[in-house]
This record gives sequence, structure tokens and C-alpha cells, in this order.
Amino acid sequence: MLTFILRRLAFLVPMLLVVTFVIFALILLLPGDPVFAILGDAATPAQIAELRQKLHLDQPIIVQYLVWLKSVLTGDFGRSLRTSELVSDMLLTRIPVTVELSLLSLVVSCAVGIPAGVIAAVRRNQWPDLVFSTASLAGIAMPYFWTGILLMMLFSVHLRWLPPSGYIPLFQDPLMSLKLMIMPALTVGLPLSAVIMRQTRNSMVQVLSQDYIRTAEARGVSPMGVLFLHALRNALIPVVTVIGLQIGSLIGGSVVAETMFSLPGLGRMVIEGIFQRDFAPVQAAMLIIVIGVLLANLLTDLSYAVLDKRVKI
Amino acid sequence: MTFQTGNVLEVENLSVYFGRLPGSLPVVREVSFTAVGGQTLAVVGESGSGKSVTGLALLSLLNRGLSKVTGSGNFYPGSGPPVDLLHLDTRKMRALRGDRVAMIFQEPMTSLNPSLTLGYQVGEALRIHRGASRRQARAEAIEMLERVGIPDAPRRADSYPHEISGGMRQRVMIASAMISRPTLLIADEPTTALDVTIQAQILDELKKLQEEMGMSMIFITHDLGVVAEIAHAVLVMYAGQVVEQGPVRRVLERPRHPYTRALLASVPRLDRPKTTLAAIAGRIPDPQQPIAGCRFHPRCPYCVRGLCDVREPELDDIDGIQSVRCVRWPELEAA
Ligand SMILES: Nc1ncnc2c1ncn2[C@@H]1O[C@H](COP(=O)(O)OP(=O)(O)O)[C@@H](O)[C@H]1O
Ligand code: SF4
Ligand SMILES: [Mg+2]
Repeated sequence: MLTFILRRLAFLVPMLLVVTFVIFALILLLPGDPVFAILGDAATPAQIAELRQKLHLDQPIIVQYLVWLKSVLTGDFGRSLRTSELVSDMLLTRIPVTVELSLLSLVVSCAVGIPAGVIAAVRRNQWPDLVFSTASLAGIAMPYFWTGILLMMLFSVHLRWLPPSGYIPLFQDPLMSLKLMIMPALTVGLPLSAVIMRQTRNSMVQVLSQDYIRTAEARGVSPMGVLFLHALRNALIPVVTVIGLQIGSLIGGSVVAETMFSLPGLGRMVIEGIFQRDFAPVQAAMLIIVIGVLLANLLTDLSYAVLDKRVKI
Repeated sequence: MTFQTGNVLEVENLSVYFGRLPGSLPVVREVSFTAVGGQTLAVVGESGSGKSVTGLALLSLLNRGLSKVTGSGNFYPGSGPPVDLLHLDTRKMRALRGDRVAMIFQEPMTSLNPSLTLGYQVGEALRIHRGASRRQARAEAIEMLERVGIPDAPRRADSYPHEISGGMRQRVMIASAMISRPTLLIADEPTTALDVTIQAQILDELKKLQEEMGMSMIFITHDLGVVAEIAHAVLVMYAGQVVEQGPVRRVLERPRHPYTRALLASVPRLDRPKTTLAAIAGRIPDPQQPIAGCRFHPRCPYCVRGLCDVREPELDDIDGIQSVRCVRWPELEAA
């Protein structure tokens, strides 16, 4: 187990290098020049040349990347060109927002998707199955911003239960923080719950027809025991895989939700930086997001090994 | 332990229908038999003759929405009054399953839960029916695993099914069924999936445990060859019907029904060259397919047109201990 984790972590390093280089290069290839964004149209050619040199923009991309990498390794992410804020300070305030949103979204998606999938499997081809399956198709087809707008209209405009947007750190005012997070977490979590529901339903149906379920029934196990002790354990194995595959869309959804609901997270940091040609925060935020995705994948594989006894690591 | 010597189960006219369509024919037709304490009843027949369905129906393990079961099955649980297994509410049936009546299945590879430890699965019945604690159940499970011949039982209790062989898994299945010392064990082809050496060991194990616990066993098999080793009485089924029944010696030494004879002739024996191994020509009919007269007549070498394909034979009592469903049995006997 430990050697598996260490091996996987070691494997993360080259992967990170490749991924961050690609991101770095793509960002520099974006149209728009940060020098103009900073100096404005009235700058003299001498000023421009000087700033270019200072920002290493006159060097080849690989050199710029290595310079960036070297400072990142010493913990120096640079400063925001717009606000002069230290990017490392920005990260410290923004990482918790995105982590909170992602975890809450994951909780929402599992809390909705798994029970719905189990119910649909037990009542397969009856009305609960039809209702959940239809709802999940709708959930998968709906774009994030559309879900977000519907939620805002319902909870903020119509019912006036929740404030429409904003963010308060969890430890500052937990209740308010969670209230502000409900809609973003639903926005990101509901489409994912639809995917989880479908997978749970299908693997549960498959598991419930297995011989060992009949063995459990022949032993006098109660219906709840059959469902949750004997069946769900096995049915969740493919569900975990599906969740792992959905981590990408979880991040994508977070970017949309952070923008819609004015959450100062990593996603918004990326979007704002790109619009303002302020690349240091973008590169740093992307690096953290990539590390997060890779770690989440590692965690998926680990939970897979915990659930599936036939997998030895 | 209660060593029951009288009847443990009296099944009368058990029929099983699949499909809700009116007029659908039964897959199991008016099967009646008795299981006696401390003895084994072998239920024999080719694959598809309705043996498993019979066993599953007794424990209400058939999908209720898709099947209909009629008849009665009085079960004497050792203490207390008899209960009719075929008319028992779900809760009471669940209380019997795995406690007074246990069942083991053919496929050891798929009949154990891949995600639960062997120790848990063996001890589970005690936790459900006796309210045993985790530790108690585990301790008794280890003891039971030792009794069925699992080496290094304490370590094996923490293993998962994929870590042991098919023969070992079947021993684990047996342990999980026997741990509650049931009054009746229904064993559905427990050795069919195993190779011959392992098969013999498992049979011995079952026999030993049965004698020690004085339990009654219904042993389902398609192999008449193992019947002599384990059974006291035999029930031969064909296309959902009982075609012959009686004490094991009688049925094996003086089979009256042409189907039983054919089954016996197809058992490979050391004293007979393999070439004369007589297989039964033709295939077992779909139980839901209507057949006029004797259900075996399309395959029976003694079939007489105008007789066998006209009237369905009754199950005739020959001498109070053996019965046979064949209109021609007296003449075949004489011939
Ligand atoms: N759930 C079911 N639905 C419909 N038919 C079934 C079902 N289970 C078994 N059968 C049919 O019942 C017959 C007897 O099956 P089974 O009892 O499994 O035979 P055996 O155990 O003697 O090999 C077979 O023809 C089989 O197709
Ligand atoms: S009744 Fe006729 S067809 Fe049927 S088993 Fe007897 S001899 Fe054969
Ligand atoms: Mg069978």
C-alpha cells in the first residue's frame, strides 16, 4: 500500500512537468500582450522593450518555463501584475474556497445519486426508476450555468431563502458560509449526481442478480441487510471509477459556479487572470488545479483498492 | 442439539408456475416427498428437470412476482408446532432461513460475496438469528471452518473468497450453512462444479457433519453415481414430475421406471467398459410444453403408441416403500 502510494506520487512529478509546461505554453500563446495590458497604448518602444526583458518575454517559451519553474520550486509564484499582490497569498485565500466547493459538490452528488440509484434498482422498471432515470437524463443534459440560474431563481428570487451570491470563509461564520455554498454546490453536484445515479442503478441491478445475493437471502439476511451490506459494497466499485472519471467536470463546473456565484476560488482566479492578461496568477492556479486533479485520481485508485478485495496494491 | 428422528418435512403436491399468463403450465408438477431426521433424500434428474426450482420454492427464494407456488410443505422445526413452508409470511420465513433450514448452492465460485471476509459470511447466520456479537460469531466461524477441514482457519477467517480454491469455497459454504445446526439442509448440487477427488472429500464431509448433527438433508444432484454414497432415499424427477421414488437400495438395485434405468445405465462404472455407456437419447422437454400421456414417452425405448401417449400415468405405489410413474412397469418387470 505505502509503496504503491510512493510509486504513484513519484510518477506524478513527470506528469506535472508535462502538464504544467503545456498549460504554460498555451497561456503565452493566448492573443493579447501583457505588456500592453500593463503599460497601455501610449508606451514608448523603449519602455516596452524594458518590461519585456524584465518579464522574460523576449526569451523562448522553454526558457520562460524553466525560469518560472525554478521560482515556483522556491515557493515564489510571482506577483499579480494588476494588484501587485503576492500570488502565493492569493492562493492561500482561494484554495480553501475551491476545496470547500468541490467537497460539498461531491457530498451533494453522492448523497443524491447513490440513494436514488439504489431505489431505482430495487424498483426497477416501476415508477421510481422511471422518474429518477428521466431526471438524471435531464441532469446530465443541462449545462451548469442553466442549473445555476434555475437554482438562483428558485431559492433567491422566488423563495428568498438563500442569498444569491458571495462568500464567507467557513471558520468565520459556518452557517452563513454553508448557506452561500448550497447553490454553487448543487450547481456542480446535481449533474454529477445524475451520472452517479445511473451507474449505481445499473451496477446495483447487476449485483442483485448475483448468486451471492441469493446465498445471503438463504441465510435469512433482511432486505436492508441484503441491499446495503451485501449488494451496495460490490455495486459501489464501478461507481468509484465513474466518480474518478468525473473529477474533470467537477473542476469545470466549479469554474462556472465560482464565476456565477462570485466565489473567490481558483477557478475565478484563472478566468480573471486570463481576461486581464495577468498570467502569474493563472499559471499558479492552474498548477494547483492540476495537482488537485492528480491527487484526486490517486485517491480514487486507493478507494478502489479498499472496496475491491481482489485488487491488491 | 435436537436429534430428530421423525419426519422433518412433508411436502405435498408442490407445483411451481412461472409467468402470470393464465393457462401456463407448471415447471414443477405436484411433487410430494418426505424428508426424515438424520437421513438424506437425494433428488435426482437431468438438468432442467425442476430440482433447483423445487428447493428454492421450499425457502421462498423464487421471485414472488414472477412465480406461483401451490401445495403444502409442513416443516417440523424441532421445537414448537410444524409450519407450512409454502404458506409462511415473509418475516417468519426469514427467521427460518439460515437457522432451522439452510441451503447451499452449486456454484462455489459465485455463491460467496467477494467483498466480505469468509469469517463474516460463515458467522453471519449466528449474528442474524442468535444475536451473536462480532467476536462470538467469529470464534464460532473459525471453529466451524476447522470442522469442515479448512487449514489455518483463524487466518482464513480474514481472507476473501478469491483467495481460496473452489473446493475450499464449497467447504466455506457448507460451514456457513451448518453453523446454526439446521434441522434441514437443502444442498443443490454442492459438488457438481468440483473435480472428482474434491467431490468425494466434500461428500464425506457433508455425511460426517450430518451424522454428528442428526440433521435431515435434501441432496439435489444430476449424478446417480453419488447417490449410493450419501442418500437413504431417492426421488427421481423428470420434466418437473416425480417418476420414481423409494429407498436408495431398492431404487438402485431394482429401478422400475425406464428413465431411472437409463440414468443408472449412464453412470460410468469400473466394472463396465466405457463404450457401453448408454446415454439417454433425446433431450429433456421444456417443462412448460404440453405433452400428451407419459412425459417421458418421446424418449422412452419401451413406449407403446396408443397407450403411453394417451393417458398420463399415475405415481403407483408398488409395495408401500417404492412408487413409479409408468403404465407398463409390471410387464417390464416381468420381462
Ligand atoms: N426464474 C425462472 N423463470 C422461468 N423459468 C425458470 C426459472 N427458473 C427455472 N426455470 C425453468 O424451470 C425448469 C427447471 O429448472 P431447474 O429447477 O433449475 O432445473 P434443475 O435444477 O433440475 O436443473 C427449467 O426448464 C428452467 O428453464
Ligand atoms: S409409461 Fe410408457 S413411455 Fe412412459 S415410461 Fe412407462 S413405458 Fe415409457
Ligand atoms: Mg439445478
